[in-house]
Amino acid sequence: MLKIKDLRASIEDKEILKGINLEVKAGEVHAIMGPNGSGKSTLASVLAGREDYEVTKGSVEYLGQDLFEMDPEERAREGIFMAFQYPVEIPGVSTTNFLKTALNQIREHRGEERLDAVSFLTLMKEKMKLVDLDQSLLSRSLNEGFSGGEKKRNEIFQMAMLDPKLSILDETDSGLDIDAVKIVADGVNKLKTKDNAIIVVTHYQRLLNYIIPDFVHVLVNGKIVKSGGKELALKLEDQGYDWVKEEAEATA
Amino acid sequence: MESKLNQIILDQFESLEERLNGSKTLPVHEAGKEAIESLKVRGLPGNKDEEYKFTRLTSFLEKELDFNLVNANANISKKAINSSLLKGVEGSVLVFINDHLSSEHTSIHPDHEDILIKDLRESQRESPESFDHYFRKNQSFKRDGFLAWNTALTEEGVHIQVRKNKESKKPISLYFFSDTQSQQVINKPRVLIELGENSEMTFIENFITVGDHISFNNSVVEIIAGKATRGNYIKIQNDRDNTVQVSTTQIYQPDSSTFSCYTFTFSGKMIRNNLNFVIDGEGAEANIYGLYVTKGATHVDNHTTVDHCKPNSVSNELYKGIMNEHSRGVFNGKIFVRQAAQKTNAFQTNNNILLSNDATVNTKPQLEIWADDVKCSHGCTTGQLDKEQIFYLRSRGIDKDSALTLLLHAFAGAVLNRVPIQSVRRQLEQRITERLN
Repeated sequence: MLKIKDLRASIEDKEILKGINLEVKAGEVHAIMGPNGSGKSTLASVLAGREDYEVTKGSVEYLGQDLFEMDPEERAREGIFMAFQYPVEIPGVSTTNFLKTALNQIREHRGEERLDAVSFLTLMKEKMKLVDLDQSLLSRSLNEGFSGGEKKRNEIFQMAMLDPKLSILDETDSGLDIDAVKIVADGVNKLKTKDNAIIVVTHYQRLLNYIIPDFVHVLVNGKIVKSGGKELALKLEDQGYDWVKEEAEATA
Repeated sequence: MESKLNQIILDQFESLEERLNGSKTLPVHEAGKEAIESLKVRGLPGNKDEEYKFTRLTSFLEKELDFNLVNANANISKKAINSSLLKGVEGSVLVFINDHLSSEHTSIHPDHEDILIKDLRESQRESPESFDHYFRKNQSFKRDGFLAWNTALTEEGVHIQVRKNKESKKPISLYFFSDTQSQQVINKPRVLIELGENSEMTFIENFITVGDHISFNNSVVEIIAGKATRGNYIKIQNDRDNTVQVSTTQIYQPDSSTFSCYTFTFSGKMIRNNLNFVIDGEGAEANIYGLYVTKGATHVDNHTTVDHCKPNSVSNELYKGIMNEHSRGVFNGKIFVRQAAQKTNAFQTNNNILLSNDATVNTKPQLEIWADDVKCSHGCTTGQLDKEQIFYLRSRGIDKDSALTLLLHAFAGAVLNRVPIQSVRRQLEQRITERLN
């Protein structure tokens, strides 16, 4: 589904990603872990199409297409979804209105008909239950005045609504208490199928107790320095990142 | 008074006096005499006048219009008038054509039959004393040349009197037509509105030019609210691109009254709004909303004043602007809190979004507070749409143009959604949509 080859990216002439290689197949869950400043969020942002970053080298192929030829909205319509680390507040735009616009543009792209008001509402009610989201939030301005937990649950709710093929969860557990982590992880697990893939970007192992990864990659200084199974995450939780950094330096 | 235009106004006043004969002692003309005296001293605002620093109207008018030219006879078809009216708005419709209240096109809603709607000339003859009391309440022509000009030369106009306890959910719409089909036109509409105690009424004001020549309207609307009244005044400025307007609106609020004013500007060449609230009562509330969505070379200047004279009153002011192409915006918001006006709450915000590199805005809050126990705040912002918000929407599959439109509508909605009449709100929303697409 996703093939990242020797990806290098910088922001304001500072190189953040220094040659990433990663392949993600349908049905897989990949965790990307790493210390602060290692480039985890940059990788998520580059995949979602944030314009602040300049891709200087390498390629990303998504479902056989060159990802960098696609605008952020095209990526979304083709099934890429990023759950934001810091979901933005948009005063004056209700979650309902926003999602209706988004979903209908995606459906149009797929050659499907627009959803009528009733079907849309039914779909929303069904998906809200997944993350235990209160219906009153949906008529309010998008994320405005939402608690940290509500914002993150709203991200997963949007993921449920838009039904992506590749989801990138950027630090979705940050700022959440353990109950909220469980709710969010539970929602994600229900959305997981053999046809879609999930990339979980996280600093801590905690979320991976609930969203079980097939692969864990450790990103240090803009490179994946170690990959392994879920047990790698546990080792990192136990021993921290220093040993991986040392290993990376030794082989460099 | 070195300017040519000042001299023309003086001459016109003299010939008006000659024409008036027996009407010379009536209130409108008495006020006119005072106004012309103040105009002799101050003149129209010059290029260095602080209040008109960014809107050099006097020199612009002298260049663009011939003030010696008398307006031609108006001849606007019924069809042209009807097609200009807002759709689906119930209530009364007053149509003025080149300052003249047209009985042919005016219609009074049955709900408004007990409201006095009269030509100023008649009204002042019938009860000169009470008329005088209100018409001359406004002495601020001593401070503003355009107001003095209008006051000095007022001949026609309308007097609206809403009786005590009258409540109507249906608005009175005022349409000021300028006929510029054969030549330029210069109008000076004058409206006096009295709201009786505990009454409730909404007014809609709309200026429409029919024809390709330039029009200039120097309008004055005075609203004297009664105790515990609830009033709304919606001003829509959506005229042709070569129209010029100075629009003065004065509102006097006594105890426990609530008055809300909504000013929407979409087009015109040069527009200056002077909106002045005098809160001369306790427990009164003033809501002052404005939205300007402009493009081309439109220049819109909103000067507002809120004068808190008595304790325990509230004013909320929110003006928002979206400016594209070469359009220019000016916002100046004065708030006075006098020493007696303890426990005043006064809030003011002005936010602007510039959609092009050539659009500009000058915004200035001006607060003068003499009372010590008050809550006042002001803030202004000017910038572009938030990139992170745009990216967020796009990352959900919404194309860039739709994302921008969604965000701009949300920005405008903070003002638009306050408009109390749904059919008007919908048409304004439609206008905003057209403008933003």
